Amino acid sequence: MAVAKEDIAGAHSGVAPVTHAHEYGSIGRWLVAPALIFAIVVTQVPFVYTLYYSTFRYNLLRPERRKFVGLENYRRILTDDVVFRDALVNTFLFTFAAVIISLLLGLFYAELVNHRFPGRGIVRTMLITPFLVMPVAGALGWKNMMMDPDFGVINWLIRAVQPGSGSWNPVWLAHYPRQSIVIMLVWRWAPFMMLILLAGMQSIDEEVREAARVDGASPVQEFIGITLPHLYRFMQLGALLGTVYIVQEVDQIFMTTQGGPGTLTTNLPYYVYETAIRGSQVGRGAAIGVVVVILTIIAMTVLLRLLDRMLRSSYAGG
Amino acid sequence: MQAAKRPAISIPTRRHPSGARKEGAPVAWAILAWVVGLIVFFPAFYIVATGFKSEATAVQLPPKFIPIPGHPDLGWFNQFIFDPTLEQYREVKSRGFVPFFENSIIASLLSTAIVLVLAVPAAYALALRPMKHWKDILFFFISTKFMPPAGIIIPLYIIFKNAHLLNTIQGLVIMYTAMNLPIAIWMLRSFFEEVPRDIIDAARVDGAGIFREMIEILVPMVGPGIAATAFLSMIFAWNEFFFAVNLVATEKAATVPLFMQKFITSEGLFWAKLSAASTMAIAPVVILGWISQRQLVRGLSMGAVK
Amino acid sequence: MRRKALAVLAVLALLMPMFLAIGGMSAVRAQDASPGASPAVDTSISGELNVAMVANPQMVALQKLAPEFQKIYPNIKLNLLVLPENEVRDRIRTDVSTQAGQFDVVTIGMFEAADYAKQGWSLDVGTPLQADPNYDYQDIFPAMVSALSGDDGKLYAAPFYGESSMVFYRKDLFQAAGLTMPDKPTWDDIQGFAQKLHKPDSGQYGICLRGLPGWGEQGAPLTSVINAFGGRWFDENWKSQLASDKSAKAIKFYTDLVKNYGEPSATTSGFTECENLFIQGKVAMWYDATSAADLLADPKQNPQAANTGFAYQPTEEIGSGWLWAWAFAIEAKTKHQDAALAFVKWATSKDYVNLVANQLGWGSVPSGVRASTYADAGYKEYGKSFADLVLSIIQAQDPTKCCVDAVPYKGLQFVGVPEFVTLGDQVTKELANVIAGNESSDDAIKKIDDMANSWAKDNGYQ
Repeated sequence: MAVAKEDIAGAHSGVAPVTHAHEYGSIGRWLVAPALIFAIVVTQVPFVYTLYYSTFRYNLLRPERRKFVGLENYRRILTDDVVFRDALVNTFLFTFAAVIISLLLGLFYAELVNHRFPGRGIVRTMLITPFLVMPVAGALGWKNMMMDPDFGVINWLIRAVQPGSGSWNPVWLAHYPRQSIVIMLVWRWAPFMMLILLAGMQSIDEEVREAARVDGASPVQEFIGITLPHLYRFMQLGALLGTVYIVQEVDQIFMTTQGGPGTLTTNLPYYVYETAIRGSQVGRGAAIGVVVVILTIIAMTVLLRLLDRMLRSSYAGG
Repeated sequence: MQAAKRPAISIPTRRHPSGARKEGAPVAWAILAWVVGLIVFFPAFYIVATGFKSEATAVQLPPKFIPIPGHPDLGWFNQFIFDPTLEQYREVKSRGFVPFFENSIIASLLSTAIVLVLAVPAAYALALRPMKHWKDILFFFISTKFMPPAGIIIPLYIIFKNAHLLNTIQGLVIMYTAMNLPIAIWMLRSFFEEVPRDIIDAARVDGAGIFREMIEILVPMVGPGIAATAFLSMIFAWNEFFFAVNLVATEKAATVPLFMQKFITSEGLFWAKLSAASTMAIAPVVILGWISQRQLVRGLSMGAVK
Repeated sequence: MRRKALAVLAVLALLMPMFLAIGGMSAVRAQDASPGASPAVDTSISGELNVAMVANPQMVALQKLAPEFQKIYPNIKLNLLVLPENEVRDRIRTDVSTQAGQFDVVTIGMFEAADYAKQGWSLDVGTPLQADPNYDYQDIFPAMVSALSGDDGKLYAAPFYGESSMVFYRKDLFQAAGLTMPDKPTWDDIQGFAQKLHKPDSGQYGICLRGLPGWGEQGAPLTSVINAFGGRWFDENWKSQLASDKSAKAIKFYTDLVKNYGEPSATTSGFTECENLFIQGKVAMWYDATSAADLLADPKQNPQAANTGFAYQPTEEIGSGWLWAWAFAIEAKTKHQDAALAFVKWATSKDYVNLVANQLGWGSVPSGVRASTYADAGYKEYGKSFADLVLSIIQAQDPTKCCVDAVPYKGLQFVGVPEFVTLGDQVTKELANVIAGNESSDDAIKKIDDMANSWAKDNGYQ
């Protein structure tokens, strides 16, 4: 099947933007215009305001102290601000861990329900549900009903299976706060990944599978040799969308640890909230927000290029 | 690029897509799947179950997750059984949920509709009628999701104040549309790209105009994909909390997440009430998800293997 | 697909009766007999009021009684928005500081009252309230009035309910352990009791103290303990005193007490969580706001009501100063000034207290603000185990003097400047880290001392 490599890459990727043909016409412009104009007006106008504020030292509650400080806020963020550094590290940790674990778990879920067995539909329904639950409600449920050292189900289970006088009663949100946040994130986003990956699995040509089986491939070999390669582009779509969303997740933190203990669960979006809204420091909060945007642009560009290259190499063989 | 060699209009179908494996899975597989499913589902289930308990029962351990009316004696299982009651739902209902639900339905549906109207042509153009800098445009859309909402809410509040959009459903609809547009464009674009080249070529050779091509041929083909995108957009709009709580002041525009907040009080025990309210809050989206999950999966897998 | 749809429909069909049954239930209907309407009521006042309130039980009760207000003022439309403390604070702060006027009446406390007044964001309510003889302005505790007044001495937020701090304890557990709670316990006493009553293996903890990060959560009891030990946050020149001997001792004391004899979930426990733990019988003592007393004495809300004892605010060098009130302020941008005033007057009046008592019981009454409440026979009966105690505690609070030494700010259990939110949040987060056992208190005290100094410089105080 001699098809140009660009075609394959372009056709199969939701990620690496390559197009079928280079027919740059003018009609496309008109079709994109409404969406583009809407997005620009609604997001960029406030963004310009935010940029403007970021050059001020401005506490909403002390308007008389408002002062233009140029790039001082940025300088501070990049040199002096210890909390910013912690928040940056945490954002990276949470996102990286949550995206990867969700992807793997989602893959596991998808493979589970990709086979026929009694009640398959119900199991798939159960696996999807965490994604549909309101994050705020889910977070409260985790905090009070699952992770609470006194009333939580998890600790009850732990105590129940401990022999005799064992008394390991971990306080998840105090001793393992980051892990707890990641658990909540993964619980919510793994189903999302499952949906995407299941879609990928179900578009695999049965003939190819049968051929492999006839050839004597074991289920594991089939999974590794056929399923996984086909799923790469879906995993990339999942990774990309997942990253965009998970970076911004704060509901869980807000509802459970309030960014603590210390700064262990403060991520960048939460830091922006703490600064701009709780602390009313609009100027500094705006500056942090702008820095987050710049950093995310850089990270996304790198991610896209990385995924792009991985995708091309996965197709290079055939 | 190869010229299409197939006849003028032929709609290629999937060549034996697998759906799910044809042969049944071994029993061990089924058991594993069920166990995993139940574990994953348990937290959500527990929230729903707690909504049917009295406040005192709600915080008791061992966790009571088997609702059986009356007080039957089932030996060892007794510790997991509770007597379901509707008292929490009565209380929740008495706090007036109707306007909140109405607002949420309007805001979610309307914003999703607008998202589709904007995103379908845009995705189509970016996939099949690309313009110069289309890569940058695509990236721009997704970059609008990079700013943490907390960083932009104060400027937004002031802008909305001046535009008289505070405490209006229109205001929420605008924000939700902006929130979901990038993902919709991104996903729809990949669906449009999946459409086999020959159909498009054939249609163009046939002299089909843009709109005919888009509406009569492509939209039906990516229909499930559009449905999947619409559904995701609805979920995100329905569950959205931050803009809802900050841009709204009264029940004129208050949405379901705000209704739930009413029950987080320092009013002694409230887990059962909160669970009941949460259950009502998540029920519409969850039920919608359950009904349409097959569609969702199909929609997301748009496109045949070539 | 069809089978699944049928299954879902079946489920919905089963649930239908439930929803229909609920539909048949009537909402809580207020009984008739409103207390005599005062002659100063002008029932023709009209307007639409947006009110933002914190979701505390007393406000939830007010929400239930809103129809009574409508009866008196049929032309005023009330829109009540009730949210948990963190969210409502953010929301109100945004609206007030941008003067967007989305709300007409908001609940604020002593922390905000003077500042909002200074900025011209809230209206003087003292003058009109004082002018109405039926309101009985003199009935309100002077400490509450002065703490909610602006620099011009006028009241800018009408107190709805007020509180100080006290200790709640389980009389039965004390008795079983052969312990007696003294009339005026010291913090050392409390620590001793907590140690003896701390039995984590049986799920009983010595004491519940707030550890949840937040200037208004962990910050409040922590600061009151700093006060009690003779410490303070800043000296007159705004130099941080957190590392000073007395303050550091207090901070160490607090974190050690929670860590060693407190509830394990401390770092995520605020007022609500501790209240729940006490009600569930998991803690032997609880140090927190006196407003909890009303609820704890109600057997319907507290299964431990009969066993609940009340003790005076612990002292060390001085008392654990704490004074707070949730009060109604009227936004300057309101277009319905008369209606707003009518609402505020109604909600903070003597009649309203009686109304709540009649309709919902004394346990839901907004207490801690008026002397008449504590003189009322009904309340005295209901609160026979705590009312006099709470009264004496509140009256002992001096809002102008938090600490042994002089300080450049107002406020007892907080530092009364608007920028304090940031510092309070940061410091309490750090101390939560200590409580979680991730950091030593010495290290943390050094850190927060630095934080406080940078903060003071940053905000132009130092």
